[in-house]
Amino acid sequence: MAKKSFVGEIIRGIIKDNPVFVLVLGLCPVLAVTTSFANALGMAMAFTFVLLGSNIFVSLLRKQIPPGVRIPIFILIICTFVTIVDMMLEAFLPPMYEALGIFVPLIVVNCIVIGRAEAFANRNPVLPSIADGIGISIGFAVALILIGSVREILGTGELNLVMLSVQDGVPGFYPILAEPLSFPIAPATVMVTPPGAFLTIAALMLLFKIMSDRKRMKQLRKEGYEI
Amino acid sequence: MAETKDSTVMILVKLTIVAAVAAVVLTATYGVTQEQLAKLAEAAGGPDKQLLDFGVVPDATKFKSAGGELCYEAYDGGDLIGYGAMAEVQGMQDLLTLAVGVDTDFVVTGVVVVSQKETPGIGDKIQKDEGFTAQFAGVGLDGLALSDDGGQIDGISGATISSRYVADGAAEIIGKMQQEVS
Amino acid sequence: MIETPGLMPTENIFPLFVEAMFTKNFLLIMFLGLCSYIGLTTNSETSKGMSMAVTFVMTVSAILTWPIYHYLLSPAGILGTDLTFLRTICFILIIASFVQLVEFIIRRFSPPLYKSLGIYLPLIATNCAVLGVVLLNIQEGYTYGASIIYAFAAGLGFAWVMLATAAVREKLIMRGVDLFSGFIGAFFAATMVALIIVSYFSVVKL
Repeated sequence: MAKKSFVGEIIRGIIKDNPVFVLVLGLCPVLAVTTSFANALGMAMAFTFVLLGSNIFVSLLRKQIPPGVRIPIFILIICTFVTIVDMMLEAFLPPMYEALGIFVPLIVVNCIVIGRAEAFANRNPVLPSIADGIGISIGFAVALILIGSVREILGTGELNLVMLSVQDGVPGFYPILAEPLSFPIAPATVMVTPPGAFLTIAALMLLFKIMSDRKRMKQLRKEGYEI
Repeated sequence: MAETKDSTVMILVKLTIVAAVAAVVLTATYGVTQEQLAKLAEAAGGPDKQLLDFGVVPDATKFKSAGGELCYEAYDGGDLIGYGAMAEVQGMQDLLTLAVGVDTDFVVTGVVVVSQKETPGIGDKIQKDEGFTAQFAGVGLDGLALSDDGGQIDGISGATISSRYVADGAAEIIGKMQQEVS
Repeated sequence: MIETPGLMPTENIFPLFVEAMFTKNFLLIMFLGLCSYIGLTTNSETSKGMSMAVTFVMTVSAILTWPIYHYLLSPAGILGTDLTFLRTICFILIIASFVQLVEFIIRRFSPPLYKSLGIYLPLIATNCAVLGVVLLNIQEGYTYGASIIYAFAAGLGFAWVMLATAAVREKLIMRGVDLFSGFIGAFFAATMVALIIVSYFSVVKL
């Protein structure tokens, strides 16, 4: 566990321990705020800040945290970072604050964050904990952005790519391209409504399952099994 | 896990330290963000300045409170040329904030959707589609409804429900303005 | 400037109830509390226990947090300073300690109740439906009465979806329909139920 490379830890968080598609954790924001690429990106950034902060501090304090009250202490640490993000968003990115709504404070009870604190940061030094935080955050972001993009494309026929930047001294999520990418499909409104969220994640998971099953079949055939 | 066996007192002390540090950090952040929020509020100005910025009464040079809660009088120099108001009305998902301007006969001069939380890519066209809100200018209170409902406003195709909330909401606000003024 | 909402509900109760149970159903429309939905609906007994526990904790959390927010944290409260930025941390601590307390009490005094309800309690402290309902109560500015009713109705909304899904999934698993035993099946089931609610209430107006 301790001898793993920094990069190895990051990649594990993205693929093998992908929080959404493999561990199926922290689903609420994944479904609720992924109506568009922009919202998914905003949520992913807020989440990354909280997870990195909580992982670093839990790992720094791990020898000082009394085991009996470790959960309340984790919650206190996570909650501090969540409140900071919440206040910062309100002050500096009001449109994103409006769009994400209560799902920013709800990062406190996101099973991924508290799960990483308990299962990883509390048992590992700071550097691996940072790597774990980065990896898991990227894994989470990939899932959010994938679902957000699929829903935006199928639901509206367009994809509006944005990036966090500062224009005229005002920070915000500004489009990268002048015109949103346009797709030649008839928009299916249902995809941006709640049932569309369930449908998207179900279809994506099915796709991943089929792909991994095929891989395993190939592996088994190579080993000489008759299937 | 059992590197440290703390006494109850130590546990309490440690909990208190964590909580105290959290409180200090949060209070510091609160100070910074409050400053920024105050700046934002100042930049946005009061409702009178916002109504002017939105240009809901195009010829107005100044808005002044009419004494009521909602309604602001629009002046072109010294002449009263209409009224403006900003209010929240029901939308499909959540409340919409509309800014509405009328002339002295309560015929609409401009409607702006200030904020909305409608479905992205569909209902949010009420804010992005300027052709939709442009239709409101010149319509009287009796025409403020979707053409499907016998009014003069054409809803955005695909976003009829959100369009209806805007038309009905504007009518509601103007009704209230009329009551306040008279 | 900031007024404290009253104690007695001035809101219209019936639409509030329908909203919490159907049109803004916590599981299917607002996406709150999904971990337990996906994880526990393979078995209708566990779903029942979890639903009861969630409804109970949500209602009591609403009862506890409303006065704390409006009389202590809000600038209109007795302290007179704006402490609203501490709301998340306060609410989560209140909910967690309350859940711990209840678990302790029923384990001590009522083993049968503990068996059917108590074992789900630790799962609830970090369930986003509970924190979600108290945050929504504050955000919407409900009166005390309305916030309690809203929380209770949201709990019932949570319960019926849990039970309906569990009934379907359990039967399918028993029949050996493999697809529905995993997460994927649960998501497809959720798609169906959510579609029903959304379509029904887009035609039938309240």
